Amino acid sequence: MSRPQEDILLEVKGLRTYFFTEEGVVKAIESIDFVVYKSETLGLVGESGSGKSVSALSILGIVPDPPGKVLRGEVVFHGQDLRKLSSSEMRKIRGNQIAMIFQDPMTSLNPVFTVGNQIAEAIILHQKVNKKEAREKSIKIMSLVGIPSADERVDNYPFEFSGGMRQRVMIAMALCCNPELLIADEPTTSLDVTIQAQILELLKATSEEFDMSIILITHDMGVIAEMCDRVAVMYAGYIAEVGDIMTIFRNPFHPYTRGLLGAIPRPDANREDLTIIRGAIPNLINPPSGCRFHPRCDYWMQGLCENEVPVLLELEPGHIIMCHLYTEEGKAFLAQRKIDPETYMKQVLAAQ
Amino acid sequence: MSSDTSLKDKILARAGKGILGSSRLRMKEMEEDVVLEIVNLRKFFEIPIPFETTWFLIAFIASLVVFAFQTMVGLILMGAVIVAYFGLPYIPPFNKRPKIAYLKAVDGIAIKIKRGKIIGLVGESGCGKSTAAKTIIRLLEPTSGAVYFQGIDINRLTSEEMKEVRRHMQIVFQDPYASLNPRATAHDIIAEPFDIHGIASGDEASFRVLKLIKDVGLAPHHAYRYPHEFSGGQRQRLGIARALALEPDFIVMDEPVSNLDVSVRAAIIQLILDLQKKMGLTYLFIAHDLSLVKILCDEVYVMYLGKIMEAGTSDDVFEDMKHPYTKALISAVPVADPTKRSKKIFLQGEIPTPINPPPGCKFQTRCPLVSDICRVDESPEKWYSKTHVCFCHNVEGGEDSSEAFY
Repeated sequence: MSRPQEDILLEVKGLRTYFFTEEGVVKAIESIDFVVYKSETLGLVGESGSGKSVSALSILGIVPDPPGKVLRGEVVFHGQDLRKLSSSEMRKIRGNQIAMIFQDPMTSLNPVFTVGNQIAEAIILHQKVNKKEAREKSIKIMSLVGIPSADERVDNYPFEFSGGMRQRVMIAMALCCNPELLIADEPTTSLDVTIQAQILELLKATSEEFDMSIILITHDMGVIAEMCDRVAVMYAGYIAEVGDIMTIFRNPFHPYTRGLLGAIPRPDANREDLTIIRGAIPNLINPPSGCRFHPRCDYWMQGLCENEVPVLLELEPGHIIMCHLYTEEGKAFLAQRKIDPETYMKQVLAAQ
Repeated sequence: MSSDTSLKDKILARAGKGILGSSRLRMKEMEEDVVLEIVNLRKFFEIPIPFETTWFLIAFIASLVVFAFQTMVGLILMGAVIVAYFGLPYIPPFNKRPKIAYLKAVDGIAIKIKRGKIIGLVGESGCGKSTAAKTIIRLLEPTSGAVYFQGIDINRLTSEEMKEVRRHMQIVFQDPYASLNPRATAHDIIAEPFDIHGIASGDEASFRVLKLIKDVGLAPHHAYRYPHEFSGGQRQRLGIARALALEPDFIVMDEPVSNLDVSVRAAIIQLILDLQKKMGLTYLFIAHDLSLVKILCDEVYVMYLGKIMEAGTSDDVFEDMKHPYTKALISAVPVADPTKRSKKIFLQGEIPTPINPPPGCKFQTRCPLVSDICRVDESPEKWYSKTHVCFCHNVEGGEDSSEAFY
């Protein structure tokens, strides 16, 4: 399933972000490529440290500098490269056309201003309204995101809200300028399941109402399965696999995606069905050479994977993968040793 | 591993040393395979009621002004203001204790834990799961109720006698970093229980420590590292090794994998299961990840605001749930299968504060089935099979006791 070119809202091409720290250069994002279509939800999933949040910050141009720096790549939004815009032009887009919500609402809300004040601030910044109108608008948006008696609570301070309500305030603030793209960075990780279900439902409903695209960053495969149309799996600064939700869950190609799915309790699983991905995510100051996943991979082809970075391949329309099992080099490598790729994969599976 | 009698004898032996008479020992006949029985356990925390500082200051300053003009009247006024806000000085026979509110963290729970099983305790945060766990192994003193471990009421033991019991029950905490001494090496952390209980020392202790380190999947050279040199998953392995050091029968796992990454989580779960198989352990597994509890636990207790709402085998609770709270809780869990996007049941509002919980059924403020009786009477116990119990006025069917199914 791939949609026509004109449906693309945001395209990220070869983005690279490094952090220059005292210990060394942290190669947080080596190269990522993905697109976001209009009014879809794209899931960005991976272990912690795989570069999900840094990707979001790089797209918005808010990587803390120093130590971070976006070194190359393009972020094309509505046909213009966001990286080439001046900071004042970028400020007009941020919060207006592209909004973001963070994992911990308490650290992103200012404790000494009322929430109404903070929502109105965003409205006044991007729209030509006076204070009174902005206040009325914020009350309206607060009741839209399901905050009861919004006309009273608009004058409350962040600490007077519970965790779920605070996240609703954050969503209200993000939605107040009708953004076309919402980047949600682990919006429900610190919440209880019942509250999480409410917040996810709210995100789903508002994305339909505002015809808005969402990039949903999470490590919870369950949340991905509930919410997303397409999924991008990230590993150690690379996109490992992109595909629509059914392909990723039913027929994942990348060994890492398989590992991730094996490590979570599936609805019909038994105790014995849980599998483990060996090892841990590498230190990105000295990442493994070649394919960064090779030390943990069951299909590691010694002599190839650690030497060459696999190219991105589009196996089926819309299903992109970065793995030597499917590249020409990988096939040539196996052919040289007179091994059929299909039987190779079966052998490895049987050996487990 | 000791049988019933030997634990009791050991405790009596300690009691016989003149620490305490055995008269305080309370025993209970328990079924053969039950390790731990919790009867009507309550844990309340005392919360002082705060007073209005502003009004107190205004009144106090006003009495100071009066004092400037009329010394005696001012003094009397000042005294009155102080007594009005702080109460009379606490002199036991004359007046009652100052005003205190109770936070009812655990409000009467009953659990039976059978040998070799994994019991799940689930609920939203703030429902009292962790307090229950700590009260069960007597890290907190219960307000009332009893915990029978191998037939002995552990809350009546002295701390010396308790030591004997502690060898058999251990706990693994959620945040391994906070529960490991940052200034001790892995070796010292694991060897500490040997030292305290006088089981082993010197080379023998080191030998045992290395064996434990191997058992939990760490390497021998890890023994002389400090906690900060380990990754999150390794730290949790260290926490588990320490809990295993005294070869306990029963371990409380208080959210052992909540802070860990997905792939590490699976590895720790496998370790927990392997150890159970190898050593015949019994677990009380506290978690809020219900999809994990579903595949891991034999029996599940659903808790809400200090009370058990529903309990039964994993199949009872996850496939045939009766209580409206269980239904809502389970429907809220995201299912890792895009073809199974289910209709959610949304609860209104959030968990109320346990300081002044609603009367009657605790769940009444958010319950979709609420009726008048729920606001007055506590919900009755209703049995739906030999193993499945649910506390709700308005769920149809059910028997008064599990006897009906025998």
